[in-house]
Amino acid sequence: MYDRSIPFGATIKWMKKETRDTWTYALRINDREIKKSYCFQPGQFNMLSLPGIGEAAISISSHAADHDLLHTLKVAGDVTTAISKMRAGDVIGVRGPFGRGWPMEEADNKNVIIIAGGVGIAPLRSVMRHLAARHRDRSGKVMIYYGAKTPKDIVYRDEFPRYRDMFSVFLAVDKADPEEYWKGEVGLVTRLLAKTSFDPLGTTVFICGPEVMMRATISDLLIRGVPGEKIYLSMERHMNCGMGICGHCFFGPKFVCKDGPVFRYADIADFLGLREV
Amino acid sequence: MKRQRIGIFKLASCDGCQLAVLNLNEELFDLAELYDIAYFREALNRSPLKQYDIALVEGSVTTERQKKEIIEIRERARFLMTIGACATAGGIQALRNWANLAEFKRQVYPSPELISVLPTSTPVSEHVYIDYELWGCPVDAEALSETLVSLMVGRRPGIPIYSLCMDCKIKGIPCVLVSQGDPCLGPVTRAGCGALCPSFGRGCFGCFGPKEGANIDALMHRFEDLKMARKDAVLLMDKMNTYAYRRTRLEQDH
Amino acid sequence: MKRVKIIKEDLKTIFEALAQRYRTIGPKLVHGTVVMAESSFEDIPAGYEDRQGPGSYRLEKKETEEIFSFSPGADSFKKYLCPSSVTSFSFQKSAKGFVVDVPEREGMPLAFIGSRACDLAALSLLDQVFLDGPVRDQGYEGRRKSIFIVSVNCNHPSENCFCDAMGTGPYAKEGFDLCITEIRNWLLVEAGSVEGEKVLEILPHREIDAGDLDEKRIVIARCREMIKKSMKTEDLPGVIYRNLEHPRWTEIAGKDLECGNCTMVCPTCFCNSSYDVLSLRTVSSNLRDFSGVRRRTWDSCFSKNFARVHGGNFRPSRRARYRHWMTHKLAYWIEQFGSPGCVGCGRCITWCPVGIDITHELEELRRVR
Repeated sequence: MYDRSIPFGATIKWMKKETRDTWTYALRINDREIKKSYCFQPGQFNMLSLPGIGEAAISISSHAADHDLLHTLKVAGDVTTAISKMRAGDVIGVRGPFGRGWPMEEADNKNVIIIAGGVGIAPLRSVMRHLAARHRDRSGKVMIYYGAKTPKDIVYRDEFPRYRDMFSVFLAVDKADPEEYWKGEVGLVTRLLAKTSFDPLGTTVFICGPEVMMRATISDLLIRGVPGEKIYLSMERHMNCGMGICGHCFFGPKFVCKDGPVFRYADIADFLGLREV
Repeated sequence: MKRQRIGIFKLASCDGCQLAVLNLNEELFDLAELYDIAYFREALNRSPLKQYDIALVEGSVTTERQKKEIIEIRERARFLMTIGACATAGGIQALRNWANLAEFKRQVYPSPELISVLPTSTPVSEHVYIDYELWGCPVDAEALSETLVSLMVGRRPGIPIYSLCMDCKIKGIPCVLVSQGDPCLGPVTRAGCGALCPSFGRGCFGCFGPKEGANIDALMHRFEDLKMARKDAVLLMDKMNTYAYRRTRLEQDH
Repeated sequence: MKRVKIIKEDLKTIFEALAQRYRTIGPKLVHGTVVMAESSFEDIPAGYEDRQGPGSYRLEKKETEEIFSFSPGADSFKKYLCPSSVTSFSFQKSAKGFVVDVPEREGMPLAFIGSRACDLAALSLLDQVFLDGPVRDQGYEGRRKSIFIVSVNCNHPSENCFCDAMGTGPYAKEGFDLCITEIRNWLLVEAGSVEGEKVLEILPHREIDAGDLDEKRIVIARCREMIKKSMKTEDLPGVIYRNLEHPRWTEIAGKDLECGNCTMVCPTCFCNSSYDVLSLRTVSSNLRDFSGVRRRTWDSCFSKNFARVHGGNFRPSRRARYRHWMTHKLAYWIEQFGSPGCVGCGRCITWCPVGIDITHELEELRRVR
């Protein structure tokens, strides 16, 4: 096994503009040995770096069986800005994979609800890909609820028609641009959720998005009777080392980097309502 | 690749921060290679140009002329950074902000009537928008290098915002406040000097100014416990960053 | 394991024997403070006694034959095993990519002489953090694995010591190669490892008898009696979790300087930050080629930007940052690693410039208002 505290090089194979500030990058790991032993679970993340600029924790958006290793990132800080200036063929640094991902065994042959907000769809894409790959053999319904700011901010917009063939997909935007045709919901994801029916006891829920959105959604789910043990969410915190030795990413007693980023709601419920923990 | 153009300007100051630029030593040559140093008041005999990518400004605003000058510099610079305590916090000359200007003039100058200055000395940020500031009296050459290299590669400069105490401990210097009872501004002061005074067994007197959100009152109470008169404690802060310390303290009260 | 009696002068022999194979790190006086530093037998501040209080530390030379007359100093193992600033690797970037070079670990292993029971307890907590996670910290492991520890049982606890309450002291039970108890004009030396026994063999010594062990017990009992500070731990972590909104947090924030001293002197605080260091020297004007290093430096949860992400800060207030630190020490740590992250050494109390006392604050949190 390679040392996950040292970045290895990965070449950008291609990139795709998702929205005005969000891009998807396909990476190829350059070192053959590392490429062979590199394996990840849906929901895990990598530390992407540019030497001299810094590192950023970015979740993996592809599925292990996919051909390309994908990351979808929103341009925000130094690292993501610098990556957004790169082209196919350029090399970036990668450390990982890190963290605990989505409990995929909880999704097998069960009803699954996926709820995402904004670029929070990125770590859930690997779940969607996983479920799509097994679509024919699995039982249980899959419902996807996704909210973005405007129709133009919907990440993976071109992929949703394919998911619609297999799953129930519900999209919502905070604000519809009057110049663009939008027949979907205008409002919060929670509104979409309220309009649909599902079996609260026989469903596993995966959520990722801004913390306020996750809290609101979870409180609705709990009222609908979904047990806290069946709700999983992916948290975001300041990551520096990725492996539980720097202390930056604490969320209450949890190291988001090694105990998470995916948590069972019941395990962190006490801290989710608290401010500044 | 076209080199970015730097201008190094001066308002009311002692030129010490410009000397800190010269103190980059070998790195000064690298700087000259990486950037086009188009104007450098202390070191080059050139007239100002129309446009600069980066303007470094030393010194505080103390005269009517400087008030106009700083606006002019701002208009010509894409990125404006203050260097040092004067430009960032008003400097030692801001002591007059809490005193009688006429009295000061009379004490310092033989012909006070010839001196035409503003009643206050103010940091550049009170006159124009600044993009970045470097604290210190004088600025630290390493921090300057770090900032200029960061601007080049496109990252946020790695200048610590934590207290001087952290640097003391990182360097393994025993605490002068705790082990000697000497007043030290370290806990409320920005790191950046490399804990220079404590490494010689002396308390800090705040060359790098108050750290963000510094709890100055709590430290002043401690000084009182150590039998240090309130007046002396305030005097400790009334040096090159007097304006910043006093303002931080006022903000804390509200 | 072997237990013997030696005369005090032979402590020098132990130093010299270890110096053949190790860098010897022991107590030493720097600026009127006992610190850990590269030292010899002569450097031990024998006969110095310290008086510690919240935010205060003073040393005084006493007329005594005692060697270990002082209590734990300002720093601990931490500064050697996870140094305050280390280069993780260097990198060379070019148009084609980058090459990483991990520096060789430095030569001689370290021998720590004069570590206290609380320090040993802290060491085992650091081991959990750096070695038991999903990725072992190789730098720490490299420095840690070959150390030699000569611990000393305390005769003079400081006014801020509360190891007894935390169950970590005042005497060492395990984790040492040699353990010294100073009894009048001789030293009782116990081996805790095969390596330790080897050192004992070269010392002129006398076997011990039951009476000597009784004397050791008396020394320890006397030390226990001298420990005046305590911390009630039975209701941890619950008492803190129940009081996360206690008004006391706001009061502490009024006094707190958030200077980070407590976290720096704490032997178990491990937080750090890694960042890339470049310089004007190593960057070329085309920006394609440059070299630099990834450096890891101690950081503190009291730093304002410690929990900052793009677009926000998860702990913007001073109140939250103090609460986070204390809650981590006394509550989170129990969930993370099975025991509190506080070993009762009292350093955070002594070296806090305004003397905030964690044992006192815990008592305050218990007060219902």
